[in-house]
Amino acid sequence: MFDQNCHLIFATNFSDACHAAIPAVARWVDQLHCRLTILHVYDPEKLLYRDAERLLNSFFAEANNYPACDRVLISGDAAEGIAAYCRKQSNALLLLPPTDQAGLPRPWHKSLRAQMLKRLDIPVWTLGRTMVGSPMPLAAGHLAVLMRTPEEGTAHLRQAARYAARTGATLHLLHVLPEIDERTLTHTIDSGAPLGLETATHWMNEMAECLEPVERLQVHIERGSLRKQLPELMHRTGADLLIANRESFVAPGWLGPSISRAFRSLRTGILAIPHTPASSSNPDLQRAVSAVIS
Amino acid sequence: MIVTDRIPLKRIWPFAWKRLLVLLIFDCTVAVIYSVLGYHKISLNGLPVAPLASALTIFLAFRTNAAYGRWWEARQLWGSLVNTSRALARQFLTMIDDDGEGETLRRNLMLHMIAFPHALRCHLRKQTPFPELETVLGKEQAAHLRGYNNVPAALLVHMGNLLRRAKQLDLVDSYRWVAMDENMTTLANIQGACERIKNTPLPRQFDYLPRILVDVFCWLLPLAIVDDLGLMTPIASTLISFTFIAADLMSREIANPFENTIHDTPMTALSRTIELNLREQMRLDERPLQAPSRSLGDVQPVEGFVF
Repeated sequence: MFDQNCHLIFATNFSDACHAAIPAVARWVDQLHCRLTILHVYDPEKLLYRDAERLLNSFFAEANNYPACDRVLISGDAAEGIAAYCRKQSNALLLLPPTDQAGLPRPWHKSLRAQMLKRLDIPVWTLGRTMVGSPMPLAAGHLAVLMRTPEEGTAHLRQAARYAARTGATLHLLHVLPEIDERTLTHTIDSGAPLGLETATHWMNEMAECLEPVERLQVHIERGSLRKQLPELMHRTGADLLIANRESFVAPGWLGPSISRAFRSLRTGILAIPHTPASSSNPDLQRAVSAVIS
Repeated sequence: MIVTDRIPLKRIWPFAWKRLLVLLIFDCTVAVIYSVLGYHKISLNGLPVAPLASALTIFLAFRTNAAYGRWWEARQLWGSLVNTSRALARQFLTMIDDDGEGETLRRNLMLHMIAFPHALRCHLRKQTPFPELETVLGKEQAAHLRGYNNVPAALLVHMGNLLRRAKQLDLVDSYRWVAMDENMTTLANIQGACERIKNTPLPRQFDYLPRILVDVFCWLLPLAIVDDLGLMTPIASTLISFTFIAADLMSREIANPFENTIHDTPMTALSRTIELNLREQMRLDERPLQAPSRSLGDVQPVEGFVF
């Protein structure tokens, strides 16, 4: 994914969150030297084509000076339009910022990002949380990857290592152990994830050894709720991008899939990578993972 | 920059709702304790709310003026950048002779001049300028600039070197060289002034004290008016509190004009204007220069905001 053949698709509704994401998108384009498509899906009942086109051409205007940038306007339903366009592209990375946080509860809100993550088998980059009018914090040189369970595969871990090796960033492997309570006994039924600190440390270190060599690698393990520990870990590492498995990013909701609460409060970029078959992964890495499961 | 007449409530609401909700609960509690439970000692009827509000208004006005001063200075600096860029481009086109390397030097100087506003905008917004610079200046030049932390300053140095080369080749005389160098110094001064605004926040006392005073005032207000308004206290108190909180928030937001928000100086639109003007000058000059043709248009407002 992290190569010049990658195709960045920046889906926008011209919200403040989309504007706030522009520096991060520019950095993706600069690092990967790849093609950028700015995609807008408009509702033809609310907006004329020429007005939608005018808005699209003025949004992220500096991208017209980028080496390979095009703008695509589609009419219809946003989720359908984005999904249909992305399916036609190969080696695509979808950049999809969140909607603006108005501060009001949205009980009937259906998450477009969660729908896209469920529908598409491509990596999706997004932001945890943006406030209208607030600039997005931008750091550089630190990259975090969240390992939750051995079952989630290693695709995101390999991509993170490749990206860190390419950019010279420090790679932080994050793992949060579950709290010890009455649910602990049933935990092993659902997952082969380690419950003790020593096992988790051993697991993480084994995986670290099997990765593509990176300049600096650090392992961080904490115990507690993921929702509380993840923002603290991200703050401590100073990472501006978290790479996670797609399945851990989406939680089932009563109105459809939604973004897991643990990720919603993060103010960094999040890259959700879909699970790929184990056969395509690094065999050493796969052995390290299966050792824990067994 | 906001160009629409109407500012939607959602611009203020995310920052104000928590404070307002807490105050509304407090106001309701005060009204119930006073009017329903009959505990009248809670009323501070003698509290001089009006003079307090006047004092607070002076504080807020002072801060708003200071914030607006920063915002307006930023806009003036970018206006000055537009003018200086055009003037300098005219000098490059008309004052450098054509002999030998003249045309190449003129073209390079013009492209550097086009690149400068883009680089300065990205520098102020902490955005990478290199994808744009690769297109404007070429991959080789852009790669060379990657070694610099301050890319716009490096561009000025490059332009100075190109001018020096023109002087060595006798393509400009000393008078013309001095005239062009003065305008390049103006560019450096504009950059320095923008960096000063970006890196020097409003004095913390200006920012912190009004916020604390607004909070104190909003908490005292229901205690002072409950005697007169009774159960209507929450409505009046919340509305008055909202006015002060909104004034407090809005003045804080315009204090930082280079943060990639809706309150920014419209640097993307202005740098596009400069590029369009300069490319037009290159094309329509008596001695037209070859430049990569790009289909660029003016940047229009997007949903009422120009960036």
